[in-house]
Amino acid sequence: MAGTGHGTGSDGFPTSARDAVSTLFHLHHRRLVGLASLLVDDHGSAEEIVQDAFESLYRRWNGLRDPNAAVAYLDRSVVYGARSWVRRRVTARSFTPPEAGVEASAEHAAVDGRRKEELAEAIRALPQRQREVVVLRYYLDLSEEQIAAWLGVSTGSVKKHAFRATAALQRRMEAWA
Amino acid sequence: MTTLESAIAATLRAEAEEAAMTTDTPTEFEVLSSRLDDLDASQRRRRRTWLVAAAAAVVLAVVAAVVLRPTSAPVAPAQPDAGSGIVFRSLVFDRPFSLRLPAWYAEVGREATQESEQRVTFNRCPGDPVCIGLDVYAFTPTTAPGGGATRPGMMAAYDSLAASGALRLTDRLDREVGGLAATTFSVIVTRTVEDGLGCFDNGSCEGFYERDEARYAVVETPDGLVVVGMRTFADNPYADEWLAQFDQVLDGMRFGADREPAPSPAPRTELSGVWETTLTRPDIEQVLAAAGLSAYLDRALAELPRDRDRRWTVQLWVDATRLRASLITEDGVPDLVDTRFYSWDGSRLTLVTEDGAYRSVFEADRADGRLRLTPVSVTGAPVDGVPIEVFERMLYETAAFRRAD
Repeated sequence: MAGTGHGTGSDGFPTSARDAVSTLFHLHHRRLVGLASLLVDDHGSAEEIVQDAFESLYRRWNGLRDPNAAVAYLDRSVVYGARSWVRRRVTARSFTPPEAGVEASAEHAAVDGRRKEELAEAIRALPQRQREVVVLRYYLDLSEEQIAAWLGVSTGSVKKHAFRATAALQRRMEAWA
Repeated sequence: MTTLESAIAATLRAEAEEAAMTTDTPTEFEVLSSRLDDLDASQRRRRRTWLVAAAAAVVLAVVAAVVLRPTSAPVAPAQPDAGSGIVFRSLVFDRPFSLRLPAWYAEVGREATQESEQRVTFNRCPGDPVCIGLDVYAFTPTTAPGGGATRPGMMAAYDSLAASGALRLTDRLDREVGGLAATTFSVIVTRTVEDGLGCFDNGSCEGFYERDEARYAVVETPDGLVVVGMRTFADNPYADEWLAQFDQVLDGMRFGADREPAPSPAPRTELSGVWETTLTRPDIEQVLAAAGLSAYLDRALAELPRDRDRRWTVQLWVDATRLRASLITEDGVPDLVDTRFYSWDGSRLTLVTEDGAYRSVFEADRADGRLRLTPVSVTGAPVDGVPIEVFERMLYETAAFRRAD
């Protein structure tokens, strides 16, 4: 019965599903689009994945036992949503640098800027599972144990993907140096 | 962190910030609002709302805040629980059941804390020194663990979670619940599995949570599998004692045709039983016009389930103290729209919500075995800008009720 009632709970959090989800949207929408964009290659899909995450949160608000867990739920929904998107697009996975990235790179005169652009390209070119591990580890600051739980793999598997990813990025950066 | 790792983190932050800056949050919020409106409209048939809207807010607050620990010291249960003698009978749950309420819940309520087609919750958490909850779930077969088509399939899925180290299953027992095959087991959760217990047809799921200690039953009912669970916090010093009562609770459950026919064994009144009537749009229009409430017609009709024939059957289930009104949709599913305490003096019916926020008095005419209700006073805050009188007249005044039991 989502969407009925208004007010706030004892912890100051809106008790109406609609109010709560609206509040969370305004607080976290931009950040989540940023997260999604690290996992998929086009901006429109990133926005769609974030929309899906908020709709999913709204659907299950009554079953959510801890409103403070809602943010983690959204983060996780975005990661899972991105994974589903990638699976649907798996045949198109061979990496092509986006046009916007090329233009942005051309506009960056500073060496640091170019290096950052090259690193971003290299991250986007990683196999999807390695890319997920890198984003969760270095963007969301999750521990290896947390990443394992999120992705449903062993901690050893996370270590392996992280090692391969950083090794590949290291090689790419050395090649560009 | 190495230089490379620092560079990766900085690059990811910059990339994410750039993407975030190019999104139009106000426009995206409009898109989300539209999507949620569509979702609400599609679920309207499932909602049991208007007069209980205020109570619903309380329910949401309770469910949302369930992570809070009880505010006073936990207490030990009575051993054994004598039971309450009050029978809860599901009206909207997909797999009909009755439950003799345990004494610990009957102290705080005779109705479920939350009831929908796929979930019924009896909750005494948080902030209650007993702090215990009882849930009945009807998971969707295709999305439930293990496919959910069979009890062994469900148990195999839980065993798989146990094998992964997320759970420990103990005290497993094959038994009967209400004469039906069932498996009961206790769970100690070592790692939260958000969708581990099962999923509903709207895509939401129920999981196993680290902070809970729980005991479950998977029951093969004539209408499909039902999962029943009783939970308390793992740090409740009396958790084991509370959960030991779970099997007694199961003894008071009946499913399908065997469920107990009366919502309560309490004494009957002249109104006790089932009453029924049919609403049509022209009749509703006429009643609201006579009361000077025509301006609210469309908004009132929007709260009714969608029905091709524009006819709605209203059923009143009346026991000794409570009146529950349901709308029966064209697919035969009852949609609970009102539940209130009542008093009856032979000519006047007074309906009051549990929190006292809504109170209506009706003059009653019982000629020819029919019950015709006319509101004489209505108090309570509007719901979404619609005066409560609109709903009272539409639901109770539009047409006379006839006995249906």
